[in-house]
Amino acid sequence: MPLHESEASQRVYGGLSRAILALVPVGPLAPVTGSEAQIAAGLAVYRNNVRAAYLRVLADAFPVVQRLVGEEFFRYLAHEYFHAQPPRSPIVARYGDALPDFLGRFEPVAHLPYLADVARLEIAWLGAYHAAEDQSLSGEKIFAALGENQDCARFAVHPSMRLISSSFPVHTIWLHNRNEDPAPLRLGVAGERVLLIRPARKVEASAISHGLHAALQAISDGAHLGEAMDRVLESEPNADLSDIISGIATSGAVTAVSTDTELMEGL
Amino acid sequence: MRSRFDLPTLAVGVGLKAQHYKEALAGKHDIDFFEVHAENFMGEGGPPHRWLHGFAAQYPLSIHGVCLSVGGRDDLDLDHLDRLALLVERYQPALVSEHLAWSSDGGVFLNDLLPPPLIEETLERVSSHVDQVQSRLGRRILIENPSQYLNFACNDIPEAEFLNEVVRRTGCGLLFDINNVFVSASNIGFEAEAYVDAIDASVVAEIHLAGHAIDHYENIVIRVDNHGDRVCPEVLTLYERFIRRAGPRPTLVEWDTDIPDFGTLIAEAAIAKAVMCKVANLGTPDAAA
Repeated sequence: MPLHESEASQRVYGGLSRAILALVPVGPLAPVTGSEAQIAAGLAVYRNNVRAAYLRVLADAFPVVQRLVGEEFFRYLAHEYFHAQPPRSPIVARYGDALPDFLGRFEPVAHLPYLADVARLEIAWLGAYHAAEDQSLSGEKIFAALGENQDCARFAVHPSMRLISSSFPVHTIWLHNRNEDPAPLRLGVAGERVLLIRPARKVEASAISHGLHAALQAISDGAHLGEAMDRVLESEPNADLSDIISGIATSGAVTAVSTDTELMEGL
Repeated sequence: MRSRFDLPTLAVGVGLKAQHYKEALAGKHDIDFFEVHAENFMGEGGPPHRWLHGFAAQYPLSIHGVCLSVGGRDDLDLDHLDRLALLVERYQPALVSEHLAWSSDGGVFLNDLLPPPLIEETLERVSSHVDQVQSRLGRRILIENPSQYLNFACNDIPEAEFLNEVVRRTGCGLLFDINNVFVSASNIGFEAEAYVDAIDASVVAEIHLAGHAIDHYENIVIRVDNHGDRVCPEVLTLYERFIRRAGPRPTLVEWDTDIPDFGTLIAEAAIAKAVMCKVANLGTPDAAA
């Protein structure tokens, strides 16, 4: 708010934004002219515009959540989300970032405990879609670069890579609904780990093992390969480490390999 | 700094929508330039940028910002201005525009183009915001008149005069939205012709045309600028009135809700071109080309 502001200005900006957000009449807040009905109609346009714009943003970002709850309920949900936390960023594509947490505590969807994770997956998809361009290394080049002391290798990770970990079969649910498959879905009880990445033109989303998920998470945190393998064994004690390394190499996640020479000297 | 002469004055364009990318880029049409909303291309990479690079290689672009809140009472969001600057640098568009409107206030982002109070205080603030944007981008921008649904009692500068004065103080140009004039005139009750005649034609570097909806709230009829229909005859009449005085100007058709097939957009743009050719005594658009 500016230091020197007239009352007229305060009442237009403050009054109109409050009337739009809080669904209170604009009359007492902002100085507007016209009949009461005209003012109510004008204000209704702004209120509808704002809510419709944000509904569109959410519907575009969360097609699968919308399909799971139905269009009508999704409108209600979008309305409640809007009022729970007025939007603060001009990057409207990020408006839905808090939706998973909101869904996690939104009583009317408590019977769909996986919904928040589906929303997380959709955010990850969008993040992968808009991420910077980069070139993934082929498996062949990665193996060649790993050389003798592969435990000391560190990796640069593709900027589009996103990882999701859920205690629900979130990838299966997402894929089934994304493809608008009308067949009923038989779900297992096991949770799923998901890799989303855009190594070429399209975002690829695949269910991956717990071990590969741990490995990719570790290398994207900056761990060297030896450390990443320790984390794999923590999450999946029987993992076949050569399979995991192949999985990293073919995932498209690696854009560069370097050798940590200090670490190598310490060995 | 670039000038309006980067686009031929007879140019017609359409707002670029994802569902038309393929057809529009294939190029079997008479569209001269394309406009995109800046905020749709503020991600770092991915398919949206691949498409836009394709268009930028073949057509002049207009980058139209909708979220900078130039008409707001708060300071400009410098991160957002940086994002706009990056986009402008990346694509070197023929035109860059924003609105005489606000969408941010006190940290809340309302995602709509709300009208500011038309008083001297706002004039100073908007001019300083426009200066700031132009100096960050290193080029002239255009400012667009908003659509109005409420009439603030404190307004004491007519909107057309307000816009002319922002131009005089900052050296910016105008993006003149004729549908917005018609919608506002109907909703808050002023004479659209007088507004059209009052705009300084020499600084209008782009014109917007669009369709709107007619909504009813109880017994009140209100025109809503939803960019969801063909341009109505009254707006085309106002457009012709302006073109007669100003001469041809790059004209862009916006269509953002209930988006039709690309052919319908081409036809709307052709109507605008025909008006300009008629006024300029150039006969049919084909003869002009």
